Amino acid sequence: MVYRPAFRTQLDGSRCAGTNCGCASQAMASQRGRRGADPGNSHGWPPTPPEIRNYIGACGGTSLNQNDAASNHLYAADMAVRYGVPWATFQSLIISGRGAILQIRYSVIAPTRFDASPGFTGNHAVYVNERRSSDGAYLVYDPLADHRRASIPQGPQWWPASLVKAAAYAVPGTATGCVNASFTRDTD
Amino acid sequence: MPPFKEKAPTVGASKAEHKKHADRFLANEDHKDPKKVNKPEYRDTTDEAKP
Repeated sequence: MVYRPAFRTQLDGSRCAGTNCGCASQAMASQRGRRGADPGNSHGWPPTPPEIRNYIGACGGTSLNQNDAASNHLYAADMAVRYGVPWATFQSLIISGRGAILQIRYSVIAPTRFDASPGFTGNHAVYVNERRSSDGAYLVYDPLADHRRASIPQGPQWWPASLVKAAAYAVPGTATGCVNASFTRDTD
Repeated sequence: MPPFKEKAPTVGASKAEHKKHADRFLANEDHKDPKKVNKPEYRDTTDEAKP
């Protein structure tokens, strides 16, 4: 059984919540990377989006490397940040026992039942925990999917592989057939 | 074209094969730099969502 972290919403009322998708995804990835084990340092546990945001600083979108640096400092949970990852290799890393923060374009999610931010079409980050072998779907923790209204889904949810792939491919400037992601350590 | 050209194992391959592929990919330094693998317009950042 793959370790599953607790779901974290980015819209928790804290500072910069609208741009905390990367921080919330990192919080979930850090918990997965440590399999829920508190590093026992002076920082909080479990990981939270506001603590990661406060380490990063000013509001605004975040990069994979900014969140990795925060995760290392706060939770001793190192990530492997990689760009231009061929889809089949991304899939292989998940199957091998790693979770991942995946950059996606929300315009691809917007017309689907997984849309958790009506009107939002920009760059977004989600946490992907595992792949289901029966149908190839991915367990996606979308930090926007907090069921804050009846029409908003509750994460995590199983997203079809075709949707995950299309949304990741659609990030502007990404190499053709590739995705950009940050991987936890192998927790198997 | 991404620098890492090794074909990934099929989804039904053993976990050991996937782990070997993962380790070889992660060892490729070129994929740590978005400028080496992505197009010039790529931005490594997220946008503000709507509540």
